[in-house]
Amino acid sequence: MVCEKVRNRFSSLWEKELTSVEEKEIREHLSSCPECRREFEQFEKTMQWLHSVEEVEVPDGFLPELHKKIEERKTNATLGGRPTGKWFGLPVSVKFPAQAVAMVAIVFLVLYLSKMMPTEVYQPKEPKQTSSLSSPEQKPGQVSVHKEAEADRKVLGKPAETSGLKKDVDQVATPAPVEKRVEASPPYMKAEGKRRVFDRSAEASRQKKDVDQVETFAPAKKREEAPALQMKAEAKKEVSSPKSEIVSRQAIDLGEQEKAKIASPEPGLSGKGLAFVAKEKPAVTFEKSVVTLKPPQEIVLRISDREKVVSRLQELVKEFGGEVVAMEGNMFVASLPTGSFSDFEKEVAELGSSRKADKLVQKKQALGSLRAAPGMRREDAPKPAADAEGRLTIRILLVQE
Amino acid sequence: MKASPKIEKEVIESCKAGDQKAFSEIVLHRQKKVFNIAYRMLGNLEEAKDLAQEVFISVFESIKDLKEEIKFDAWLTQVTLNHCRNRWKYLKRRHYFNSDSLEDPIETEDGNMPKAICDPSDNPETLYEKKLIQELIQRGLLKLKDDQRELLVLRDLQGLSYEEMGELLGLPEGTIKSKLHRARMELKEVLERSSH
Repeated sequence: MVCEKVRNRFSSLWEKELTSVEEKEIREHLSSCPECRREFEQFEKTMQWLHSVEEVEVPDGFLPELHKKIEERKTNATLGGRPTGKWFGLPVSVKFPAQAVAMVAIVFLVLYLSKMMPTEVYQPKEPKQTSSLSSPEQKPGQVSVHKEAEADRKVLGKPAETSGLKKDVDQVATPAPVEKRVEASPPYMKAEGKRRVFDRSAEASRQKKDVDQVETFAPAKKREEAPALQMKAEAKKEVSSPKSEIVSRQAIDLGEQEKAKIASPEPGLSGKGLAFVAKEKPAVTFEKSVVTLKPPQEIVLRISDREKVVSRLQELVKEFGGEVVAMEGNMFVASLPTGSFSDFEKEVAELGSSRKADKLVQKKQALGSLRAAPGMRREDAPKPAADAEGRLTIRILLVQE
Repeated sequence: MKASPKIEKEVIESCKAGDQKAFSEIVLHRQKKVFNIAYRMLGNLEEAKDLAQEVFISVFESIKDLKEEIKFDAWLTQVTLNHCRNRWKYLKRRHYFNSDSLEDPIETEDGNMPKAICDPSDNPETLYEKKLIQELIQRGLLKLKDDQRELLVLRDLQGLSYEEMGELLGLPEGTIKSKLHRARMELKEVLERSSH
């Protein structure tokens, strides 16, 4: 028997798994082969040593420590300390597709956002751009479009808005005189009030239209060329004109306003006319309407004999090359050449029965102007409103003493 | 090797239902076996204790998935071997065993000299020799390949039958026998090399 074959049977020989014949053959070879005999002796010794190995005792506190570990694991699992471990414990066959899907999703998300972002940023700007386009600087063609839109809105306007407007007007402190002024306006002015618009561009176009139709409203033409944001400031400047010694409409105190209100024959129309203004931007647009409708010069005249003063006024107007535009109740409106205004003003002042009182009113107005003017530049100081042909509208309020 | 007392089927079922007492009973019955397999596979008492506890935690968490209670012991051994394989790889990556070799020189007062391997058969009666043999065998086992060590531990130290080993390792008995024989011969070679 070959040595290799004998050595391969050492385990079987040692465990006594061989048949008696096989065992006899191997034992015979071992007795005749010293190398194989020595190998088997070493093998036998190793097996004896291996089987002599005793079991090691379990360290003390094995079970309590085990319970403690289990409790810690439970606590960690409750606190959510294990989810990451679970993910890392997942097989690659699960993790890889999940990661691939996540990557694709991220790429699509980035592409989607990169495409959507400019649009989203742009969209909110569109309304702004539209509104800026509809500023007074808008071109005539665009203005006409707005006029049409305005006409449509007027048709669709609800009567209920009128009361809403009245409310808004009452809440705004500054527009109070304007409201009264509109109410006290002659019929043609009230008609203009009805056509009040809520769009600035339309307002500008309306101003132009007004200039064409009514000469006395010419000053508005200058304003339609001014930027929309300066409209409010201009209105204030006009109120605080240092040149005007006459009591302007805005300077009239509350008591006088009440008087004018009583004198107004059609107080309801102004509110209706401003309804569309209040609907969209009450504060800003309302002030703009003030600018548009505001007569250039106003005079409060305290009189004792109305008939006499009126006839004298008519004469004076003719004398200074002007014409009487309207005369109704206590309101006398005339159109005069700009150059003759100062003289006309003096003459009118002579007609007043109580010059002292008028002067007091004028003085009060002057103080008010100073208060309103601090931030105003010298060159910005308002000039008497006049149209392109050098004519001036003068409104005289006759107050019976 | 003394056979572990058989665990009652009811205890396993109670443990599956989450009974802590039944789990403790299982641990008390099988802790020595699990700990010894771990120690022979890793060669370190602390590592063996920690690993054995991990094994029982796994048992506690996954015993509900055990379908046949009768195969509990085989399943427990399988769990233990899996933990041992993973821990061995983990420790090996960290060069845990590099400084503890049979060839490593032992530093003495006279300087470095090869570690003397005495034949315990020269003086078998002394306790020191017995301890020396145990240490010698443990070091020899750690010099073997993982699968060879597993076979020796299961068959020669734990006393498993070839049938059980075949089932556990998924190998035919003939293969187990031949592999086991090569492992024994390898251990003999390791011990011989270390004694010269």
